[in-house]
Formats: sequence, structure tokens, C-alpha cells
Amino acid sequence: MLGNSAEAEDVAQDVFVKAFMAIESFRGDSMLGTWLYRIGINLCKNRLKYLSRRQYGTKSALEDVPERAFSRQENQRTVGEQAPRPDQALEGARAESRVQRALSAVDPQFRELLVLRDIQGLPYGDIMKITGLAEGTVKSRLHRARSALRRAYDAQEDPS
Amino acid sequence: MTASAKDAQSAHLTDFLEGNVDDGQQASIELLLSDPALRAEMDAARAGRALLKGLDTQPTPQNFLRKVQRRVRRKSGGRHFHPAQQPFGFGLSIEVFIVVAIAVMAACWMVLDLGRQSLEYDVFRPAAVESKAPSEGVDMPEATPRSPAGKITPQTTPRPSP
Repeated sequence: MLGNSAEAEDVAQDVFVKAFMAIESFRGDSMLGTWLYRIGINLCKNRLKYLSRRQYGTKSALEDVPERAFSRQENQRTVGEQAPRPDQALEGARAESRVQRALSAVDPQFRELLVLRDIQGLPYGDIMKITGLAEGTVKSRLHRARSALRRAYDAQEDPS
Repeated sequence: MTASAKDAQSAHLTDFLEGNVDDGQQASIELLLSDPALRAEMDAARAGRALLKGLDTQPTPQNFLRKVQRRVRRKSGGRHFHPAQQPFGFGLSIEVFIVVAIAVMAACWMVLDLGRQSLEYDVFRPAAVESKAPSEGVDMPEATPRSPAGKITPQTTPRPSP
């Protein structure tokens, strides 16, 4: 959502701090996870506004994608599972970096829907509660968001 | 086409892409997709969706919980997650401390109860041992002489001669 792992970790910590401090205001109308997502999305929007005011660039932030990809593959591999060859891992990391850059180039109101639906895999009911949008609006925006992501991906230079 | 009609069409295309349409809707959308522009838009949406399928979610960063607790402590002015609230001050939470204390108490009780049972057993043990083999474990007075066969012979004191 933010295109930067350090910013994402900072906001993720803020989500739990805010939830802890405001747990009494949680009425139980929705699931706790949905409430946390709503806090997270609002904090991400605020952070993006703040970063855009500071002319924050995402280039340096996305440079760490290949390293993260290597360490993640190392961490998530189970016992007996064969490690990917270094060239395969690098290729995968480059492709992911390109997708991340394309995602960062998409309008934030489209990006939140892509993250919630296509990455997190949330049902439409939850997305409607998180974003406060009607179902038809979510679906029509999602269609445009997916097309916009594809166009942004094609516009990215292949790093290889 | 009006904006709302365009939105409705986009919503239907999303349903179609995700396979959430019945047979009647599917036929009407396939008819719509005979338009090359709409078909290209649909293909782009499908490709965009496929791009995100391969993305992994990030694992939780190291010490995430501690960092959150530190922020809560700072934000609450030390009311929550203060080190003084933790017994012994080395990061052991009160819940863990209570569980360990209960486990230690239960272990002590079991050990003491076993000790009591063995004491009760010892109270009845000497009589049984005596009746079985008096010569093996029971101390007899030293003054009592024993015959070579192990029988106790009555002690005879010499009478003074008149």
C-alpha cells in the first residue's frame, strides 16, 4: 500500500497502538480484523498525504525488494523443500519489484481496493465496511483499478 | 453511455472475471465482449489481477510486539506495559508468572502428599517386619544371649552359696 517496507512497518505498529488505545470504542459491529483494516487503511491514506507533501520518492524504498525476496524465501522454506536457484530467485524478485512499482503508480483509491481484494483476498462485505463504499462502487472501481495496474506495469521499465 | 451505466457495466465485468455470474448474465456479458474495446479492457483487468496473485505477503517483522508495546507505553505515559508491572523486571509477564507459581505449588503439594503416604506406610511396616524375621532387622538387647541355633536362652544369674 505504501510501497516502502519501513513505512509499512511504522504504520503497522501505529495500527496496533491506535487499536489498543481505542479498544473501548470498538462496538463489535464488525469483526476485530475488519476494524483493524479500517484503521490501517485510514493511517495509510494519511501517511501517503504526508509523504506526498514532503515530496517523498519511492525509488529508494523499492530498491530493497530483491533482498527482501531472498530473505523471505529463506525464512518461508520448509524442511526438505529445495531452495530456488539464485538466478530464479533474482528473476522473481525483479518481477515482484516491477509489480510493486506499478502498484505504487496506481491512484491510492484504486490501490486500496487492489490490496484488500486481490492481495488480502477479503470478501466484498468486509471491503464495503472498511472503505465505506457501496458494493457496486467497489466492483466498478476494482475493474478500473486492475486495468490501471496493467497499464502501469507495461509502462514500467523491465529492470533486467 | 452515462457514468452510472458505465459503472454498472464495470461491476458486471468484475463479477464475470471472478466467476460470480449465472448462466444468463454470462451470455449477456459475452455478447458485450464482442466489442473489441471492451474486450481489451477486460483482458487488461484479467492481466492486472493475475499480476497481484503472485505477490507474497510480508512476514511479521522481528520484535514487532515489543516495538508496539514500547509505543503504547510511551503514548500512555507509562501506564501500560511498564517494566515495573512485570515481576522480577526481566520481561516475564504476570500471566506467565501466575502459571509458573501454580505449577510449582502443585508440584510441592504432590511431593508433600507422597511424603505423607510413605510415612503412613512406615507406621505399619515394623510390625510386619518383626513378625517375619526378628533376627534380620530388629535390634535385641545386648544382654540377651543367643544359642548357636538362634534361639534366645533365658539368662541365669548365679545364686550366692549359703
